[in-house]
Amino acid sequence: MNLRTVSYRNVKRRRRSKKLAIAISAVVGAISLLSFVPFIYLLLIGFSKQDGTAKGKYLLQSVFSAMPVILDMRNSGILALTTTILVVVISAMAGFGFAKLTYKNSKIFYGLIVSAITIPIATIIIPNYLNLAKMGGIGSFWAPILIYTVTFLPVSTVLTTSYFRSLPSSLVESALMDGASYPRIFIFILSPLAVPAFVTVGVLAFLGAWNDLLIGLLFLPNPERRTMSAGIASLQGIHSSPMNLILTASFISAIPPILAFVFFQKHLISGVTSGMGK
Amino acid sequence: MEFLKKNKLSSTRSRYGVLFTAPVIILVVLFEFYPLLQAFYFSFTNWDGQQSNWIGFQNFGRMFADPDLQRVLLNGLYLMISIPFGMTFSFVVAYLMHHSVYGSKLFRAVIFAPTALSWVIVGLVSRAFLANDGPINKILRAVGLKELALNWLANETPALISVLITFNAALFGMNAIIFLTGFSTLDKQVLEAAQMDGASQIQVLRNIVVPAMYRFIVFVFIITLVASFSGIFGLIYVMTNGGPGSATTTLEFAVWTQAFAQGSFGMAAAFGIVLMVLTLVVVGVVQLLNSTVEEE
Repeated sequence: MNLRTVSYRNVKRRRRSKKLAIAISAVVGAISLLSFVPFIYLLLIGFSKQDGTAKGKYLLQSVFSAMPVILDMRNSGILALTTTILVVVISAMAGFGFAKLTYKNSKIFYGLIVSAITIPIATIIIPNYLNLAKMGGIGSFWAPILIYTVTFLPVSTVLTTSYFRSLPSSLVESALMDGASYPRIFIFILSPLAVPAFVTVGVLAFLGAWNDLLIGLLFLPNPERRTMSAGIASLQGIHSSPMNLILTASFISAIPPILAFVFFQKHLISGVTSGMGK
Repeated sequence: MEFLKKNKLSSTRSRYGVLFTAPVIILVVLFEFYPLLQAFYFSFTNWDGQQSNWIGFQNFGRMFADPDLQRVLLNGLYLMISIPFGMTFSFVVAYLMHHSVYGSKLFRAVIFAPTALSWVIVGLVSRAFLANDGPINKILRAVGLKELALNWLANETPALISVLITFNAALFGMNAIIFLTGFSTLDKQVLEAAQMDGASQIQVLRNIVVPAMYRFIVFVFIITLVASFSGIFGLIYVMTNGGPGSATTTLEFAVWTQAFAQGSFGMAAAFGIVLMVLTLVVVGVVQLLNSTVEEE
């Protein structure tokens, strides 16, 4: 008798918790649907037709004649990919060095790199702009690539260093016994193990460079080297450009980052939270 | 003999250590620390791109006296105050997600997705939504709240509120995912034991969950604040261009307008230095709080 009441109570409780679970899922579902509104909105606009002017063309088609989308995307691609490669290579080397090849004062230098994380881009952008302008950097790709690379290096180096530190030092020592040189050990033994860290660093650098506006705006004022973000933003400045066209262009510009998100979501989440170590 | 060999080994090691770390050190010194010193120097001058004279603290004095520039400092404060509200929302949603049984994998992906959108796109979408004949006003009119259907971005206070909401909403997904990661580290047994002992959901949340999540809360606050200080140039540029007046100009945006619209590089450098100092102060204070809490 007693047992039966208990089990009856349990059933009741379970039923209530099932109802609660459904309610919670419904609330979360509704909120995640809200998060998707920008995407739905951009898609709807992209597949709408411009009022009468372009005969039966979707905005996603007519935007290509209103703005040099291909050229701007190409420029952003060159900047973002070169930055990604440089950041990955330089921070991988530095991470290996700081983690496995400690030398006198290497701790101090590492501290210097860590403290550079707190320097806002806006604080140093003007001196950097004028220094690089003197060196002929305005209107050329190398200057913005240099600035992007330097901007992402401190965080990336901290990430790679902590990753290399987590790899056993015995790997290095036994390879040394076998007569391998440090560059060989770095390239063929430790780097293959550190690929997850490289992917995180690379994706973050790619997204940062691709999504940037300020540096592209400053360093590449010439139309043939304009970045996609700067292109969209300048369309917006000219009030004759209809908002829907700008939104469509911005949707196209979001495709590479969206793809990066789809493929590398796990790396991104771990990259963001790994900054928590300290 | 053995000693010599070891010594030789460690000297090649150091040499390679220097070699491997040299690129990052050189780049960071040349393009982060050197320009930082330059910016520091220029903040005490009236540099206009051509010539500069030492004017002491005048730039900083003007910042606190000129109402337009004061507004920029205040906006930084408003952004900071808005962050805990945005964080509370993402914390609660993450908590619900943690307890959500159905479709939680899908929800995670969907909630994180807007993080892929750049600040330029976020600003443009928000601008389109808030336009006079945009969706927000249409909805407000449809539900009979005509008085609330304002020209949002054309008036000072509504424009600022719009920017604050857009900023927090855009970071909602990322922050919720970070909190979700935090919740997955919580000790389930402790939570269950507390519930067995008859603690209410609210009590569990306040006395067990929040203290255990402290590290994550601090982390989210810092990265959100740093983003508000020096990561939303694109948002401001396309959404309001800092206006009307300087109603939505952030410190970071002021560096841009002072330098490239007004040509006063000295003043721009001063804004940059204030930005740097504020960042250091906030990070320092939070670190300090963190260490005292950990000691307890």
